[in-house]
This record gives sequence, structure tokens and C-alpha cells, in this order.
Amino acid sequence: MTAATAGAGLSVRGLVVTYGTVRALRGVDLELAEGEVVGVVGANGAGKSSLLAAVAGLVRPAAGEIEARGRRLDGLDPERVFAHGLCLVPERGRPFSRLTVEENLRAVVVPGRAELRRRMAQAYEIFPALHAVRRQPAETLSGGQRQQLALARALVSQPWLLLLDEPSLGLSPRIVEELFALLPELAARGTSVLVAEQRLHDVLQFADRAYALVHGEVAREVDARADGAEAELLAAYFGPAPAVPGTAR
Amino acid sequence: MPRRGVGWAAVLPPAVVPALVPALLVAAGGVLTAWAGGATERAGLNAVIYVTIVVALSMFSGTTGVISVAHVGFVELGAYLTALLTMPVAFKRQVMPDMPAVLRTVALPFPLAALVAMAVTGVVAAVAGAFLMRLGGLQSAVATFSLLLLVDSVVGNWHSVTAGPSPLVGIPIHATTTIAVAVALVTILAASVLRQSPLGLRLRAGRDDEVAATGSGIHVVADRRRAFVLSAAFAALGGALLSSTLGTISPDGFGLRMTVVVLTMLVVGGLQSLAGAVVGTVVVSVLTETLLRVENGTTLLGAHVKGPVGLSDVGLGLAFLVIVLWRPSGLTGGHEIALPFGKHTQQRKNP
Amino acid sequence: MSAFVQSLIDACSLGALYGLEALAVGLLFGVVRVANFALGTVVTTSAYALYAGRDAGLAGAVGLALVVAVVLCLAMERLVFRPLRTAPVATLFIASFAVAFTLEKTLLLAFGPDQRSFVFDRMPSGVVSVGGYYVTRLSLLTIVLVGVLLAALVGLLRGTSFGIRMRAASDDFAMARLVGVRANAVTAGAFAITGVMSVVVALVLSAQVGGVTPSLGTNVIVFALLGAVVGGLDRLGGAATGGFVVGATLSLLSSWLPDRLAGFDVSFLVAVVIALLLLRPGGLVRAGTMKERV
Repeated sequence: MTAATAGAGLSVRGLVVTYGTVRALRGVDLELAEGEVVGVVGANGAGKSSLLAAVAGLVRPAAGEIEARGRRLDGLDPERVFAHGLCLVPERGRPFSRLTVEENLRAVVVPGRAELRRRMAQAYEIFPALHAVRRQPAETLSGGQRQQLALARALVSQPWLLLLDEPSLGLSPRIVEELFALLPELAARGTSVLVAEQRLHDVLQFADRAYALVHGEVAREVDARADGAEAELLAAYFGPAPAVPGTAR
Repeated sequence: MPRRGVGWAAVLPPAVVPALVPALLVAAGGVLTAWAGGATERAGLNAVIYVTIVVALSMFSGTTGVISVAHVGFVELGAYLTALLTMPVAFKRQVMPDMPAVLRTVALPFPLAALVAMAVTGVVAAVAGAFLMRLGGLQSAVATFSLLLLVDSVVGNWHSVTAGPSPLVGIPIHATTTIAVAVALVTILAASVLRQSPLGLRLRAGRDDEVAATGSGIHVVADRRRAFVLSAAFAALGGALLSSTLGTISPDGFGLRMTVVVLTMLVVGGLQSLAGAVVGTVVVSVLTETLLRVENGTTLLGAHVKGPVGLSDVGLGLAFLVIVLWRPSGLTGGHEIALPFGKHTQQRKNP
Repeated sequence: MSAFVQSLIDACSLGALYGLEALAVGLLFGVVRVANFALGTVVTTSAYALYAGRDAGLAGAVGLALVVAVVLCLAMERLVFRPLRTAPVATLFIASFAVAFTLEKTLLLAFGPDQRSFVFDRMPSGVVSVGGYYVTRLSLLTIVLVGVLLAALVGLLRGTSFGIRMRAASDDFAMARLVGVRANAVTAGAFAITGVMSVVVALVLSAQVGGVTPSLGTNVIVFALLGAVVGGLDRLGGAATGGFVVGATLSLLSSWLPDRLAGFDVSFLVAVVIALLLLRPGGLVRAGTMKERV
């Protein structure tokens, strides 16, 4: 287990998020070291999205601390969190549907025009398919392209930490595979990734570590490369009874 | 067994209990201002009529949570219908010879005219509501606003019937303070019964969670339309009182200005409760009357003060904004006010 | 025939003016979900600023009006609409109603009910012959001014980073913040732009009337708002088109309605608006995609 050293990476302590009377997160602790790919797995409603939304500043935590690179982030507005080098790609990507692909990338706040152009060129290099449709409104793209665009848009900001919420949702297996294959590549270039997913098996393929969230609490934390990691996470999902492999999909 | 002080409240039907404090407030206000006489009596009468109008609006907006900007149009309709129906035939023949025969040849006693005005307005609301209630959010607000504009522009231009933009004069004055108070009390009672009725409970369920209410088999749109019709009819009754106490009405008195007045009263008191409608009307009436007197020059705490013309209107708008910004649920917080004795009444709070 | 063509040009002029104001309504609504009824009072206030600066010449007066209108819009945003950012759309609309009322009555308090008259020498007046038809110069100027402003606005919204971010925020406000767009900056920017647009409307309206009264902007905002909602608040093109159609229809109705029905132009128009709202609640331009209520 590679715990983040103080002052580097992301550190979440005792995070509580409530919506009215519903407690979506009940005291979550999570660590991420720079350069790591960390998965958060759990069933629908386990609190994965709430965790990412709280880190990104979309929802204000009721209690707990979020610290990134030694700076407290909890309570900051989303644009401030973004300025600290964290970028969230929400569920289904949410590209700006009436803007063209190119405008989607240009909307990202980047220091300087030349820098923006350079980063856009990089993004098109990673996703050549987007370059071909760059003058089309995002609403005309396919689901896979929209997810690619969302990812490209996030990468234009060159975050040190990419927050991905259910990137596989609604996409075909082949596209998901392509998408996930990109993540270790990003990590190698120094972009850490925190990814929330229901697809336990896929997460373990590329993540360094994974947390299982159950009812808003961390039920288990596993090293993705260790033997039996999947079984251990499954056990956390369903309780200690012997699990049937594959049912988590 | 209920103890001393609870007994008489416990024997009342529960549907009436939320009406108690508002009714006492209105009755006391009516009696006090009438006792003071003069300008105070006129201001009190005005406030009592506004209670009818605002409570009527709250029958719809309070129970459904949907804000209607159309209701002043219904008040206007009620006022003009009552005026035209009560005016003596001879007077109409002489002053407004081009009026359609239906209106020109009849003169009804005030109570009957008011009932006809309520019925006609109810029909208008039923027709409009069949479409309006399907809209939500901004579309609904703008559509009801358009309805207000429609009534306002028809009344303001139908010279042969309404005297167009100029005042309609010579309306027989039948309504007294006593009648106005009685009408306000009846309206409050009706609103209270509506809230506690199965329809009212369904409406409030739909207000608090439309999806869940629909899921449990409530026809939110149809229910809202019923409330809309009922509330429009009572708004017309408020209009009937206006024309029959003032003797003169003109389109200027309705329209946007009265809409702001009525919405301010509703919002200041608290949109969701019956008590809010009444408290808001009383508070805003006292505020505007005070400012109006400052406008006209008066003696306050021994000093003579005279403010600029328009002060009361500016105060009205500010009151609305202050409440919306700092206490969006209104002075009552959306709760009913219980009588200060007995457990029974304390449970009558609205969530 | 020539009377008809002339009334068409007048209709285009009024339509352009209302379309411009409707565009302002749509622009602001897209970003902050406020259907701002108080924009009408911003127009009125701008006209009073023009009046106050009349001795400084047209350019000076317009400069003053721009400052006043933008400051007023920013103050409105900061004091009323920013604290209400999470309020329901209908509540925001009603709140803007109260803002409009309060401001109008404040103007009444400050300037009184009587018209303050003023004319700028450099504003065009009289009629000019175009291909045999007589058209007021003001109508032509209105069409040109609106055209120029529209082009500038399109350039801003499509060509600059700020404009693209504003459109992004209009598309998905929370998502825009997630890619670093500052909510307060983009909101204030949108309010400021509506202030600038209101000054142009004020300039034309006050030239038409020959002065300013406290209710100068009320009609414009009523019809621009109806037009914007009918056209579709979600798309700028829709809002502007709706405003144009409403303005042009109103102008045509008032010139061609038979005498017996004169005065009912507004009634007819509003009836049509209500019908359109019911038939196409999502807007004329993009019909059918409004979310059905569950």
C-alpha cells in the first residue's frame, strides 16, 4: 500500500456529504499519491459520484477535509479547485452540447493563447477522431466521441489529478477498453487518476489500488496487483459470503 | 379528556382550526379600524379586501407552490363584472348606450352580481386552466402573466363596455366594512377547508414532491386546475368588493401594480400557509399606509414629516426584495399560527 | 401598396428593437436562468442618463448612459440575483418583477411622472425616400444599429474566449465551472452586456418618443419577454426571432387593424402568444424537445 506522503497527492479524511436528510458519504478516508491510478468501486448509490463531486467542489461536504498538494480544497468553488490542478469528467462526460468540438476545448481556462493551441493539438493527437469532427456541435457526436471529447477537454487543462466518474457508462466494450487503456499512459506522463466505476474487473486491470465503497463508507481498500484483489472487493460488495465471480459486472 | 382551555378548540372540526387566528386577526382589524373611523377605516377596509384577494391567490399558489401572475386579472374581471351588473339600467342606457344588451338591460342586487362575477371568472379560469396547468416553471409564470395582460388590455380598450382606460364611475356602493369583513372571513374559512380537504392534501403532496405524488396516482394537473378555478372565483369576489366599496374603478388600479402588491403580501407573510397570506396582507398594508401618510405629510412622534411621492411604492418593492433575500419562507416561515393554549391546536402546524 | 411596404419597414424596425431586447433577455436567461423583467427599467434608466447627459452631446450622453446601465446591471446581479442563484426560475422571475417595480418607482420619485424631453441634433429625424417609399430615418437607423450590435455580439460569443466560455456556461453552468470558468465573472459579464444592449434600445425609444417617462421601457420588456419565451429562451437565435416576430406583428396589427378593433392590438398579440406557449412550450424555433413533466 502506497500512502500519500504529507503535502503531496490527494488526501481525504472523514468526508461526510449529505443531501437533505440523506447521508451519501459517512466519513470517507482516501489517499492518492501523485502518479497513481486509484479506483473507487461500488454499486449504484454507494457514494462514488458524491465523493468525486465533493473533491471537485460541486457539493460542499458537511464534514471532513480534502487536501491536495498540501492545500485544503473543501469548501472551495469548483473553479478554484480546478485552478489547483484537479479536473472532473462527470458521468457521461457532459460536453457542452451546443458548442462545437473545438469550442468545447477552447472553453477551458488555460493561461495564454499559444499554450491553448499547443494543448489542443496534443489533445487531437491523443484523439485523432475528434479532429475530423472539430467543427461539429458536440450534440451530433456519438456516445464514444462525447466521452472522448470530455476527456480531451479535461486534458487541455493539464491537471495533475484527473477525476473520472463512470467513464464506461453507456459505452460499448471496445470503446471502454480503448478508454481505459489510456489511463496508465496518462499516469506515466505524470497525471494521476481517481476513477469511479461499477466495473470492478476493468478497474483492477489498470488501477494501482482500489477502494470499495458500500453505503457511503469505505468497506475495503486493496492493492490492485495483489492476488485475490477482485475476490476481496467482491466480498466487500456482498459481505463475507462466497461470491459468484462475474456478478458484479 | 381535554383540560381547561382546550375544550372548545377540540370540538371544532379540524378543517377550521387553521382559520382561527387569521379570522380573529381580520375581525379585530376590521373592528379596530372602523372604531378609529376616517382615513384609518378606509385603510382598514382596503386591507380587509386585500385579505380576500391574497387568501384567494393562496388557495392556488399556497397549496400548489405554483406562482400565478394571472390573479389580478381575475380580480379585475370580478370588479368590472360586478360594477356593470349592479349599475342601474337607466344610468347605463344614458352613459353607455353602446353596451351589449345583455349587460345594458339588467341590474342585479350586489350579492347576486358578485355570485355571477365569481361564476363567470371561474369559467374563464377553467378554460384557461385547462391549458395553463400543463405548463411548468417559467412558461407557467409567463403564460399567467400573459393572461393578466390579456384581461388588462381588453378591459382597457373595450370602450363601449368598460369605459376603456378612463375610470368607470357611478358604481352603486353596497359593500360596507361589515360585509367586507364577513366576506374575508368566509374566504379564510373556505381556504382552510380546502387545505384540509382530500383535494388540498393531494395538492400539497404534489407541491412538496410532484414526482412522488404522480407516482401515487395523484392527477396533479387536474387537481391544480380545480384549485385554480376555485381561487380565481374568490379573487373575483375580492374584485366585487373593490368596485362595490370604491364606486369607481379604472384599469390603472389593477395590472402590474396590484400584482406586485398582492405578490408582496403573499411572499412577505409566507407563501405556504394560510396564516402567511393574512399576516402578510396586514403587515404590508400597515407598511404602505404608514408610508403613504408620510408621503402626504403627517405628524410622527411629535415631528412633522413629509416624504416624496412614490415612497410607499418603493417601500413595497423593497419589502418584497428584503423578504425574498433574507427570509424566503416569509414572516410565518410557512407555518400556521396556533392559539396559545392547548396541545390540540399546536399540532395544527403545516410542515 | 406603398403604404403596405412602408408599414413593413416600420414593422421591421420595431421588430428589430424588440428582437434586440429579447436577445438580451435570452442571453441572460441562458447564463443565469433569470428572465429579467427589470431590463425594461434598465432601458428607462439609460434613457434618463441620456437626458442627464444631453448637454454633453450624443457621444457624451451615450457614454454616460453606458456607465449607468452597466453599473445598474452589475448592482442588480450582485445584490439580488447572486444571492438567489439557487432559487427556482419562477421565483427569480417574480423577484425581477419586484426589482423592476422598485426601480421604476424610484425613478418616479426622482424625476416625477412628466416626460423629460430631449432631442439630439445628431440623431436622424424626418423621412427619407428609398426606392420610391418614404421611410423614417429613425426606422432605418434602428435596423442598422441592431444589425451592427448583433454582428458585434455574434463576434464576441463565437470569436473570443470570454464569449465561448459564456456560451459554455449557458449550455451547462456547473460543467463550465469544472473547466475553470469563473461563475461570478461570466454572470457579471452577461449582466453587463444586457446593460449595453439596453442603452441602444433606450437611444432609439427616447428618440421615437422625444424624451423619457418612468414607464418608457415597460412595453419593450413585456413584449421582448413574451417574444423570447415564445421563440425559445434556450437558444439565442430563438429568443431574438421571437422578439422580432412579436414586435413586427404588434407594429403590423396597429397599422392594419380595422378602426372598430383599434386598441386591441395588444389583446390579439397576447392571445397569439398564449396559444403559442401552449402549442410549443419549448419555443417556436426548436419545437418539441421540452422535457415532459413526469
